[in-house]
Amino acid sequence: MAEKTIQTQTEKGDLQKLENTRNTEEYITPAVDIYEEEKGLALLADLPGVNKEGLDIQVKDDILTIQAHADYKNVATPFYKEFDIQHFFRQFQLSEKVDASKITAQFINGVLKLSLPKAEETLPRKITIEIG
Amino acid sequence: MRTWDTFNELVALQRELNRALDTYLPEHTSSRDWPVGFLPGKSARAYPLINISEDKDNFYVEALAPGINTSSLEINVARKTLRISGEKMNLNDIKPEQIHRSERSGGKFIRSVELPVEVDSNGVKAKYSQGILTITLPKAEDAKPKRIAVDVQ
Repeated sequence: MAEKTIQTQTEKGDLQKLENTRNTEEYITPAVDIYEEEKGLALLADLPGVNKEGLDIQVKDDILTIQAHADYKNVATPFYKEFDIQHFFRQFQLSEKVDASKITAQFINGVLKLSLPKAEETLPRKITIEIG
Repeated sequence: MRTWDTFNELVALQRELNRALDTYLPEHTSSRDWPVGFLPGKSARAYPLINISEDKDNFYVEALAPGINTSSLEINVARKTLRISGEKMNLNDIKPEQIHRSERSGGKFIRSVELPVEVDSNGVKAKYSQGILTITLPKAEDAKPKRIAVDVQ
């Protein structure tokens, strides 16, 4: 008899498909800026309508996952609408050069700032040459 | 002698169409609310996006504006018109060669919103939290619905 159970596989380094895990809620991809800083990378993400408790940042198998649950309610009876706040989800493949244990996060005015420091061994080192 | 300027012609045509649409559409959906231009620039997209809601006494305007420099934020109210202006911080201080990805645009913005009735400009309150600017605008006394008692004889 043929094996009917389908083995689920998560290969290391595979960006997870959100469809596998998410429930019926809708998610949007937040806009991000990524730039180099002296000691590593910095990531800025716009996450309006999210409070600190709704924010979930994880690093697993070199994949950085940013998930945010917005708690936005209409103040009163809406009569003109241009935006709707939904939950946010985005994943990034980290290079192994990033030291995952030293990632720090700040969250001010709906903007998340992640500092991703590079691992010690990849930082440039000055080598002094002795002239004999 | 006048020279033919294609862009001027297009802008004139757009103005003509807007005027035509304005007479057709109900007040809230006037073509001024559709920020479509023939030469779309950065400012062609309305920013910040807003939601307006109301209850008996107030209008609530919510603007989706994460990462605003709070000291630059300015809110003006004159009669029916609310004007929001400010500046979103961008990556200006960072050298272009350091940037890997730049999706969040920044810069100065200004947006005017026309409300259906006059508001009491003295009672306007604004709150900025979690990247959403909420402005509470009390309706002017004259604009509030009045209950008129009927004398039954």
